Amino acid sequence: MHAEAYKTLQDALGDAIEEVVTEGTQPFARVRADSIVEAAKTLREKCGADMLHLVTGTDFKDRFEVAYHFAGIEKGASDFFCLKVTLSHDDPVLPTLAHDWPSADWFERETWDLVGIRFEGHPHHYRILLPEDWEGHPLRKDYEFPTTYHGIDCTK
Amino acid sequence: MTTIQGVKFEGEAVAPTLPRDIQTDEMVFNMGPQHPSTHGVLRVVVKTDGEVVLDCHPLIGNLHRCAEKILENLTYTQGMPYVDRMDYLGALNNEMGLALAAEKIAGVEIPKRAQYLRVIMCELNRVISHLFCAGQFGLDMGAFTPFLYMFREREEGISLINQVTGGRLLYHYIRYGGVTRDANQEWLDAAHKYCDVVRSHMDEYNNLLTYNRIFLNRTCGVAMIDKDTCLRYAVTGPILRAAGIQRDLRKDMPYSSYEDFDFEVPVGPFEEGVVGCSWTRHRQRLYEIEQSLDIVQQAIAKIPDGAFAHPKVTRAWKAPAGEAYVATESPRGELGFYIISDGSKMPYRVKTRGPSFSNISLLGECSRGLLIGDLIALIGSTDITLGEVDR
Amino acid sequence: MSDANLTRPGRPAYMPPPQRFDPELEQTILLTKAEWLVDWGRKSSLWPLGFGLACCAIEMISTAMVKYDISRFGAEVFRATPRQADVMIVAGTVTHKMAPRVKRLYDQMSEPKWVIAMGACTVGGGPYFVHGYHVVKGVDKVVPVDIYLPGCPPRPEALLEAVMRLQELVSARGKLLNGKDPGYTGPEKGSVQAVMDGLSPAEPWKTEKARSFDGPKEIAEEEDKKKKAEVAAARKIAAEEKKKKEAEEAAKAEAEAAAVAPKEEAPTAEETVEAPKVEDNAEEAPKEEAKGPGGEAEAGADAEAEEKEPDADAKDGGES
Repeated sequence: MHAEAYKTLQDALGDAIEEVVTEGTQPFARVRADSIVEAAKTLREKCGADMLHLVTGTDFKDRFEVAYHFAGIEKGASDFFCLKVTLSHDDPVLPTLAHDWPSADWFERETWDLVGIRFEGHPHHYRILLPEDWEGHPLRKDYEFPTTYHGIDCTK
Repeated sequence: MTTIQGVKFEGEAVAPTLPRDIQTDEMVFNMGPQHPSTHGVLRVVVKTDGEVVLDCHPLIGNLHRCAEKILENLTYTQGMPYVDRMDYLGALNNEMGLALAAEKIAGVEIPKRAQYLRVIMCELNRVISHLFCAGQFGLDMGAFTPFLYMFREREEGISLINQVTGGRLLYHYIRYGGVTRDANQEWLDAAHKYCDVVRSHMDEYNNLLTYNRIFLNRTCGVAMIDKDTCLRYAVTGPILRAAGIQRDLRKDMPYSSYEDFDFEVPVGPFEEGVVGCSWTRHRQRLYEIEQSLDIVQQAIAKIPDGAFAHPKVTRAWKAPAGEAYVATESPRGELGFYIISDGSKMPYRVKTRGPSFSNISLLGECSRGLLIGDLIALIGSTDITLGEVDR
Repeated sequence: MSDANLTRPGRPAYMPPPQRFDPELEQTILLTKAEWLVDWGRKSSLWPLGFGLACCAIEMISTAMVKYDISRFGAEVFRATPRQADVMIVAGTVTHKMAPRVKRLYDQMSEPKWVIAMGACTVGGGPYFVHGYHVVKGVDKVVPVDIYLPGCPPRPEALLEAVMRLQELVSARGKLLNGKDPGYTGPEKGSVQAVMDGLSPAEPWKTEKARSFDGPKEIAEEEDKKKKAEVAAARKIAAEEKKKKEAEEAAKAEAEAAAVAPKEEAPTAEETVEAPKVEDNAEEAPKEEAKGPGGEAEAGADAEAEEKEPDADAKDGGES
């Protein structure tokens, strides 16, 4: 199933698909950052993905990776589709999916909040879990824990 | 087909009908974070015109407990208790999800008895979770007494799980490679009997609450969530099934030997109400209780002898390098765990997909055009746990 | 009614002693201190704020439900608004985003008000202490806490115990811990260390602060009496040991003297029994020579020793 879906993607998008892995516990297709909207659209139209299940941002110290998991609910797909995007560590930006997939709205806000990956064109691009005046993005590997916050000691 | 504020609904929806000659004004007010109907510390900013909700904006994060950062900084075994505290009403289901994800990376085959014990415990947990949520929904709708009746069986179920796991609310029972303690035949018999007891009380709940005329008028056709909205907002679980989609991960992607059991997935609409209304979601949960009781009794009848944990999975166990995404059916919806492991003793990244997080994100869209009282019905029937929303 | 001791047995009852009156009058009139009556009313109808934060809230609800039934302690009226509540059960993790709201809710409650910190998170950060960047390490950094209730989550029985201990605190007018003055603003007061040091509100007389309070003073006096009695008893034992030594040494000296002149000394010993006071002066001269250190003993001890010595002398004389 995965192989077919990722083959379809490759046919439709060509060079934008950088890598396809069908073996192992997490098969995925790696997509170029600027083509993620198109890739998701192709998945929806040609492979039956109709729900954006999860957006995950990960800090790999030298790069960022964003993984999108899609589910095919009405088609009854037996596993999740996975698209991955690699971003540079200096300026992690990629286009938003929030306009096509409303569930991406909150997922992407959470990713910005905790990992610090910017989503261009996002309608509500601000923190969702942490307070607005919080400093830093906690799930980055070089995150330093705060010592005080609004006069409350955070160390003991 | 009805359209309210640009949202199309299948079936018949109740549009707010207010006398137009009353002069009203727009007002913005806060509901929560301390509010009995928000099920925790959810804050909803509501913009109203008289009694009608024009827009509403859920603000979350008041219970953000840094679970993902903590899981990155602890070993696999140490991290297990923290997922209990995400969805504290269905703690065992959370443990199951995390354990399955790590075991999928390692390719560990779990002993059959351990799989059955996991199923029994998770389904019992689902029963007491749904009992709580159905009662809580009644409480939101102004019916206090059914909550007391449901809590009676809930407490019995808690003490039953307590006998094996040692916990009342947060259990730390499921471990990588199996479970921590075995259940003896005496306990299994008691669990079988408990299922009969709860089933015998289902009529009582229905008479008290579900088919109560006031409750029916209050919830039928109110606060609609249709199929399309569910898909767009990644809403899963009882809400999705009440919207008419046959989707249950226990059937569609069986894990932990769910394929061994014969059970029906109830899908709305039911006797009263329409597809996707509050009453249907409530009825959906009560049907799922009965379905879970069936699964527990089947598992008790079929449970094989043998080890209750994988002998080679020790306390210092760690997953090899790799990654896996596993979703399981928790009481609130599809609970996903995405683990990235670099082979060290701590996971490199653990991402949780809390079903409540997605389920509450539709609040802004679905509340438009509702009365303020029906907004409570919408929040109550989506059955969120704030620990899971904020993690 | 006036005999009803509403605190536990063994704990000091903060109530006036019963007074006897005309029996008819006693049946119609209840006499007590007004402040005791007010405290009794307060502690018997605590109205908690229905304020669930996280997992502990579920156990708080369990406590209010059928099996544990917190209404047995008069605390079942969970209010949705802080204006009507006087106990805030902080049930669950307090985060930095939530902390200002908790403080605000506390400020909105009317005096007198009390706080129960339920669960490990509110006591001191709990499981989120080390890596929980967004968790306040104890709600006592935000509001003053009266009862610390550990557990993750605490069982309903534990919450009932906390309510009972809060009732004891309320009946002691809440003066004993954290000041509780209405103008309290800072977060410093109250800490986990206070609990570790034994500053537990249930046993306030153990602390130094409690000395200024009326009830427990009596207990302090009793303790002082006990200590004095112990010191006196120890002194007595020491004195008795000294006397024994003196007696032995005196006996040896007597025996040596008897060996020199046995027939003359023996009758004098018998005479001392018959008429001790007359003969004492004559006998003391040889004794003091033999004793040496015995002369330093207390006067009372000497008197006792002198009563015993003649018998010993008689025995020695008989044997020889």
